[in-house]
Amino acid sequence: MRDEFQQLFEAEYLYVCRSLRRLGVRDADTTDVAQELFLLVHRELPRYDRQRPLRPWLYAFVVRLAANHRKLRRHAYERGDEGLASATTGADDRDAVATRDLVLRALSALDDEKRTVLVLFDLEGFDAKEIAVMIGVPPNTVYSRLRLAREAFRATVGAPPAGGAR
Amino acid sequence: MTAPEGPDPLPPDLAALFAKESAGYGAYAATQDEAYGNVLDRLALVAAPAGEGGGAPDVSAPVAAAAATKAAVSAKVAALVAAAALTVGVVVGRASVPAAPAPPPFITARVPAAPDLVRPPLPPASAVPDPPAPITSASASSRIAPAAPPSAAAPQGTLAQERELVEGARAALTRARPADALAATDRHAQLFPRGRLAEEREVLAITALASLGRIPEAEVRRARFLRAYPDSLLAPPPFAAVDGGRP
Repeated sequence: MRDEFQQLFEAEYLYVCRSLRRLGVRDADTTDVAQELFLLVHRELPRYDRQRPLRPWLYAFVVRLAANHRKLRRHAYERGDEGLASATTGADDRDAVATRDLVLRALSALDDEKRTVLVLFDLEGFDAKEIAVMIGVPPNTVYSRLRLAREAFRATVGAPPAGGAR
Repeated sequence: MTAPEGPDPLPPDLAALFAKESAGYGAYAATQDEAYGNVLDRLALVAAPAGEGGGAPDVSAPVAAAAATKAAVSAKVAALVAAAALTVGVVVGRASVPAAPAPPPFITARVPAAPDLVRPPLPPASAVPDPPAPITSASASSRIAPAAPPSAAAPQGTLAQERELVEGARAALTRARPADALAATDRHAQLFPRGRLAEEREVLAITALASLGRIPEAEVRRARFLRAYPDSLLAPPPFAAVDGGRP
């Protein structure tokens, strides 16, 4: 169990952090929330049905903890995040970081429902059925939210650029 | 994916944007080892009946790891607090703090009553099904603390107690139980007004107050916090005026 947990942690930690950020967790809180999440995962691991795919199971926690976090942070949301975001960027190439910040900013302008669906579908690659289970809505709702989310996202980032980023 | 109302394919420019975006998070890799250490640490804490004074003999390996991490963490926290203390007086509150008339004593007693009677409904660690929460650091320390030597030994019992309360508070917050969180921070404030985790406690208390909708109290306490820890990376942002307004 310890081994399995360790493997899972090592395989998923970075992706979990990334997803938490996308789902609106502040940079300053991301590693804390990620740890929270893996503690939860550790606790629930015995109940995980190994016949079923891991990622949807794992990401149900991600979605839930991110939502919790947003709730607690409601009053503070978006506040002062940008500065911190760039503080952790040493290793990444500048373009990717700039793009990340652009995307995160656009995501943060979406409401929670839309953001969650767009992140899970377009960024995390889950299909609508998986998402439906994760967030407890019918697949059709996932689709309609996705459509609205993309429209709203598009409105924020602007029309397709000619060539360069931004 | 190919259901009748399936979505259109992602437009190419967004696909490209997202592909590039995905590469922008590599910095978190640097936090992985510490995060794993903290998780093991806290797993050991959960396994051990911390309420009874801290160590379960049967989980020796994690406990050893925990002890090491614990020392490191406390050293970092100490460094953090020390750093803040050094600059007190130079920086005078970095945010224009609204109001804050005659702030209450540093520990805003939620229930201004006899400490012994007002036992917060914080269950002992062994009874808490969900693991208590991380101390400050992963994020904070990885950014500032240049790995303080793990030699800073603290009175173990007290620190363990402190941690239990503070982590209990954070766990409660994570579980959306701000009232419990506040009770735990009050308890910590009674027992360790100047404890080593006081900074963390204040952050949690402020967040809990805000979550309970007690914004004025949260603001007052936050103002105090900023005066006490002007450089704190943990400082909660203002609550009253949410700038711009979010959707």
